[in-house]
Amino acid sequence: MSGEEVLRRQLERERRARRAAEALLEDKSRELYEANRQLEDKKAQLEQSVDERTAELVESEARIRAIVDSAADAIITIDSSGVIDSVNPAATRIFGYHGHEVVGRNVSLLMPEPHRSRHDGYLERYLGGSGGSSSVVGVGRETMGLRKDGTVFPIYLSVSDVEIGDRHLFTGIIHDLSERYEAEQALERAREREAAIGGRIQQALLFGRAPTELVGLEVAAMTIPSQSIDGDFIDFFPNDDMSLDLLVGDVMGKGILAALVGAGTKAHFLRALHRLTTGTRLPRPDAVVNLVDKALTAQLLELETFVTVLYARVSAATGKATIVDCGHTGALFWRGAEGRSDLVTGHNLPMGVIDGEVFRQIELEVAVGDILVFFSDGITEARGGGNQPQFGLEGLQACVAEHHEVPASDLVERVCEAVVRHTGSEQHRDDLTCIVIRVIGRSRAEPIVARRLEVTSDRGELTRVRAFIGQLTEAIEAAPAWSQELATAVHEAVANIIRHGYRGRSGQPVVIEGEVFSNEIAVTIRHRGVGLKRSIVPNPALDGSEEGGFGLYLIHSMVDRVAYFEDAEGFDCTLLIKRVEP
Amino acid sequence: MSFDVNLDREANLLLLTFTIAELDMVAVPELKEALADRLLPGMDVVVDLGRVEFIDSSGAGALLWLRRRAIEVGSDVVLCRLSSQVQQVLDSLRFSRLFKVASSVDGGRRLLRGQRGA
Repeated sequence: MSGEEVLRRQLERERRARRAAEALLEDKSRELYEANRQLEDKKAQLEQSVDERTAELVESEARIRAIVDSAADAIITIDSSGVIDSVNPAATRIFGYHGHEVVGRNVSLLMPEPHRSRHDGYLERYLGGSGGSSSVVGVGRETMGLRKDGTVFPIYLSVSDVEIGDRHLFTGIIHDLSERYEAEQALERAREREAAIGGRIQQALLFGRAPTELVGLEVAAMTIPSQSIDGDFIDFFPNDDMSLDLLVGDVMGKGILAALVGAGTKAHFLRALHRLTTGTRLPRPDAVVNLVDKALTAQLLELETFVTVLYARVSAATGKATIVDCGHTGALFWRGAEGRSDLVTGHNLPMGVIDGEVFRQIELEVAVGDILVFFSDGITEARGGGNQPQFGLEGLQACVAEHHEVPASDLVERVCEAVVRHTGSEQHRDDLTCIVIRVIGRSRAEPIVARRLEVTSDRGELTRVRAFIGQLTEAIEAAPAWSQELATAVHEAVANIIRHGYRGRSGQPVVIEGEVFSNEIAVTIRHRGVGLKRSIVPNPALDGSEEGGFGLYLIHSMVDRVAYFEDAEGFDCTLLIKRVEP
Repeated sequence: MSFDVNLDREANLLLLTFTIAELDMVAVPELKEALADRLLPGMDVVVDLGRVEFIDSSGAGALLWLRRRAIEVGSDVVLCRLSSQVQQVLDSLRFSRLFKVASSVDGGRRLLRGQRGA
């Protein structure tokens, strides 16, 4: 091999090696480029996501800021020493400060006493881990705030605490309750006003007074109004001195409408009673109810309400009780002779339910010792808390059985007491209404002497009348002046019958019955003429300006009791009672 | 008639003496008629009720009418000799405040004279 050949081969080897090295370099360089390019991509991606995240954060903060700034509630942040860190615009508006006036100051600035001086203590206790139970943090409560102008106002405060790094912050959200309080107070005032109006309507218009001056009947009523106006109503129409009509009712619903419907119903009854009364002749109770129904039911249907009513007439003179029960509770009838009571009810619907209901009356014979109890369902349906049973008819019956011997005014109190005891409360869901009528008779004793005189309606008979009274008083050896007074009163009463009862017609019957008791003399004068003016006697002027009208005044001033009534035979009667002074 | 009326010109008074035991509504029209033109201005009236045992409200009304007539003509009325029942009724009606009362007719005259003198 030539040298030249050797050289040529060596060169060839070197050339191949260089080409291999160049190829390697090119590969490596390509790899490097690739890695570099990937790195660039990664970096770009990273930058983009940082940008995006930053934008999100900015937006989120702006959103929170917007929420905080536009919130209706005050949002106040304080640090662990109570110093205000930030306030939102609502806080400055509600408390009346500018932001710079409060930031950096103690939050107790915004509280009235006693919280103002205690707030630092609250914080210390909370951060010290004690007093957590009374803490407002995480709970929220109603308390009071203090405005810059010094006014104290109700707020709802909720506080949450946040720990950021080593900082402990509290955020309070405060809702101004002033308007709600004012609205609530206005509503409360309106309710009180309505209750007061209703109460006045009830007292003035719905609860008639029980007559206390009847002969032979004790009448007592008691009403305990409920918190709301319940529409119970009662009324009494004394017919004469031994009998009365009475009305007890309940309007469906509550409130002023119920009170007004109750008052209206009463007025309808009074009007019907007057319209149907001819002279002194009373209409049948069922006629009164039917007339009222005719006028009232259309109105009730229109108002979409109805009224339960019990209308009754009780007379000690005739020994009769008549009851019309229009969907009401009925009446409890205690029969003294039997020592037991029953509920007397009718089958009629309440008024205002249907047109054309025909109301029917129930008639009872009543005797001395009997008791009638009229009531509203508030009595029988009264119940205590929980699943307590109702007071019930049984409760009422038991109460009447136990106390049937006490006066009506006491019995009615016993009933109401028993109901209150049963419910265990002084406040009731329904009005409690109870009326008690006891038939007591005129006198419990038998007369020592009883005499009777029949005369005619002639003035000439008056001498005989006075002589009759004279004989009667001799029986108890009465003082002459006492006898004269009784004789004058009886004379005046008979003269009234001749003049007004018989309108001067002579020869008509007048029957005088005298009963002498150990403590009084009772004289009953019966006649067939026009019923005399009942019970109400206006006082005549005694100054000399009038010359007549002294008769009734004289009678009243000379005896202790004057009563007018109609007896079972339809005689008009005048009863005079004069007590013997011990 | 339920009463006698005597005129005492010297003393310028009417003496009205009831002759009945009961003074009631029967007396009123009679009294009005009898006294209508006899009671002259300034003439006082002495009413003797000595025989009246019983008076009723219309009788009391009659006395009241008499008093009013007397006041109209400037006269005075005195009631004399009241029975216990008459006294009772007048007290009860409080008429005792409206009338002068004497226990005798002479006492009634003296009451009027004393008053005139004064």
